[in-house]
Amino acid sequence: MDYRTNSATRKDIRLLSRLMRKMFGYNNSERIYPLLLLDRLKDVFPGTNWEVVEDNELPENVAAECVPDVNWNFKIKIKESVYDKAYSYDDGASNDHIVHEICHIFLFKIGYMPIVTREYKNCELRCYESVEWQAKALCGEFMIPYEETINMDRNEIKKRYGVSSSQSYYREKKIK
Amino acid sequence: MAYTRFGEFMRILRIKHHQVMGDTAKLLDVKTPFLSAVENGKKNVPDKWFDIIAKEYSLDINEKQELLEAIEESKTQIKIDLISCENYQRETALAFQRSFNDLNEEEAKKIMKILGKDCY
Repeated sequence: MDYRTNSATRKDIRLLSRLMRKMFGYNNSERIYPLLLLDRLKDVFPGTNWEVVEDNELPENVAAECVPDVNWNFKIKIKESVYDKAYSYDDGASNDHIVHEICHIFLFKIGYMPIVTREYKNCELRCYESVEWQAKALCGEFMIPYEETINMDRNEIKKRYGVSSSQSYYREKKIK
Repeated sequence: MAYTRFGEFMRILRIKHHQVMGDTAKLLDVKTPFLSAVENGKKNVPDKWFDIIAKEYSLDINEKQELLEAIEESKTQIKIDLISCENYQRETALAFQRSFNDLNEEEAKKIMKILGKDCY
């Protein structure tokens, strides 16, 4: 499910990714380690919590989720299998799932919150005003520094920055 | 549920040592969801964890004390041994258990005062 939010272009998202890096103490070029971000969440976004849960606690098609409480403090739940793959294999897709949820929190906190309570089916909204697209785009921009990856191919991007095949493919395509 | 004091202690320890929850789970020989549940106050801290953590991170005496207090404060359940106590103690414990969920803050403060403990 998706929600409408204030529009943001890819360039806006790219700028925001630099702010997000700064908030977590990263410069604009170094590699991000998602599992290290998790313990920093509470410092960067006070009131935020996270936990690793057994796989059967989340729906089958959900790797991780981010849910607000009544005071708009967020809790991220991550499936055990997703966390373990990120931990044991530095799996790009698992890393992306985790960072994606963190991106939802960042976007919300800086004002890109759902502006209509109605839920939309996936792909029903224009991408730049979609909560899900913005989180996905921010995840890619946050994990893959744009200027650093100008001459890299997708395999190199994937290996160096620990991202999914789809994120590395998108970056390679856009640079060329 | 939010982090318990134990969860917060471990979070800071991991940040200091540039580690992640998976490292702690491996150290304690448990699955990550179990550790996460303990740090979020859904389960009690197993007794044997104190020695493992203290040794692994070479905690000094103050840090060990802090860890002990954190574990104590993070308990989800407490047990009272009623076998070897007097009848009046047994009745007090059972009455406390029955009325615990209905206690208001004022009553709790009065009980703490009787027990000679500082109020929160």
